[in-house]
Amino acid sequence: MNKCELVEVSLDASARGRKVNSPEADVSPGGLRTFASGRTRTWLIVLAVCLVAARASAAPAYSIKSDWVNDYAGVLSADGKARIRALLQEVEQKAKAQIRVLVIPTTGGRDLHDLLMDIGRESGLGQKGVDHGVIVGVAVQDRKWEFVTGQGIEDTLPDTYLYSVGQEYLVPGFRNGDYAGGLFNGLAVIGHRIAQAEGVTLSGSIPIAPQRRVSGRHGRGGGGFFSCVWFFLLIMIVGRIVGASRGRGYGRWSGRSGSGGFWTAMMIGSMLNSRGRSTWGGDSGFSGFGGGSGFGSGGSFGGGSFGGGGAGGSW
Amino acid sequence: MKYGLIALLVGLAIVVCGVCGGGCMLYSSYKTAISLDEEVKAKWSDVEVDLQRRYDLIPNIIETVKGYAKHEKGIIETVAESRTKYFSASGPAAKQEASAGLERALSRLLVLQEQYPDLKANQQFQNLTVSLEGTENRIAEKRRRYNEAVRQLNTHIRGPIGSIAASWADVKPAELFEVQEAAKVAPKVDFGD
Repeated sequence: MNKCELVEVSLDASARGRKVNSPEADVSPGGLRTFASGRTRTWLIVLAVCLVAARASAAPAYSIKSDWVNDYAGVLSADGKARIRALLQEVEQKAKAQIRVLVIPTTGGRDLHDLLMDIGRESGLGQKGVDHGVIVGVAVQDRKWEFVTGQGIEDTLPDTYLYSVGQEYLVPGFRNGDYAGGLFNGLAVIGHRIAQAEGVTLSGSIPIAPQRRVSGRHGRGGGGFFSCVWFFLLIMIVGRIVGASRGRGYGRWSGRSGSGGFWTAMMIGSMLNSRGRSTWGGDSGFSGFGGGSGFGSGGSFGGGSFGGGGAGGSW
Repeated sequence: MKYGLIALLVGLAIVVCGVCGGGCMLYSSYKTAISLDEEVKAKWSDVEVDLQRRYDLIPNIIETVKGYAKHEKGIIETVAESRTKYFSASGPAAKQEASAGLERALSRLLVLQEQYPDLKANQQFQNLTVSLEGTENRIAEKRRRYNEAVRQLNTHIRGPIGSIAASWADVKPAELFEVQEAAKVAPKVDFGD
């Protein structure tokens, strides 16, 4: 079953137009290669592809392994995706938390939390023993959002906190149909919180939720939350000053960012990492290191476990 | 005469090998049974941690609900009672039953928010409900892991060698923690305004 799912997943990726470097190696299940060779093998593979592709379209298998942002519903703009991706990439690099976005059309009646837990379990997001994985799932037609957190990050991101982030940042964006914006704002807040817990700072270009709705609904917990915001603002300003003094502008992520050191490191990282599962091609802002390079620093997860933490709601 | 001796020796060697091999297999099965049994116990204590978490949340929920739904004494008392029952239950089987009762009572309590909009709008109640939902999710996950461990243990000690090893190690088959669908708390509520 598991093996079958893996095949399905990789096929799904190729069907969606992403480049899979060696489809043969990915597709052919172990035994196939041994008894079939040459043309027969090719045909067998084609047949398998057709069969599995048909199955995959009937019951889509979602994967979060190949990218930070996985939009199966097609509601995120390329630019929005790139912004979220850059954010999550930075959080992963600096704060060692692996956050993945999964946007799907519908869960088909399943509980979104259960679905995300299955995906988390299958992918092993978050390193073993560290368990700093977070998946944010959006089921567009069901109008449902959900966070699931790895066991190691539950203390940094308690359920009630995630619920308030969802209500205040995701929901307003989703209501306006701005899925990328809502996700980006919510994830920026979460990213800053994780960074703070890890004692690192994210670059100043990641805003502290520009669309924040000020409401009295925070009650007693509000004070802490707003002081966090002020703290981040301070960090942001300091970050800018430091950045400027080092003669390097902290541009917006969606453009070609000026923080050269980070990107150089990324490029070297992705060159060294030749596993190459997906490319950045097609998304603006990243074409600089597109050609066949792999998943940068990401992708190296396995064994992370999710203990059922998280929160969700609808809009 | 000479051949007879050789045959005897070979036969003896085979028997000795068989006994040694069997003994080794039995011993490793014995060790596996013990470690699987320990695994089940560890997984059960994980479940209990989250059951306890739910248990600890309840007084706060009761207090909050009381403030808004004074007339619903019956439901509130049932929750309090089943909480006490859970506290006095000992051992996995009794605790599972008591926690199912608690779930039923809680789900009735949570339905109250539909009748009391003020309660639903209360920030503390919202937080408690989110916490409770998270706890339920954690219980579900821990229960899944516990059941996985139980299945491994039970499969192991059902085999021919495993069953001997199990009686030697005094390991008994464990009970699955069945999900009682009807009793499932469904605090999946939305406070969206």
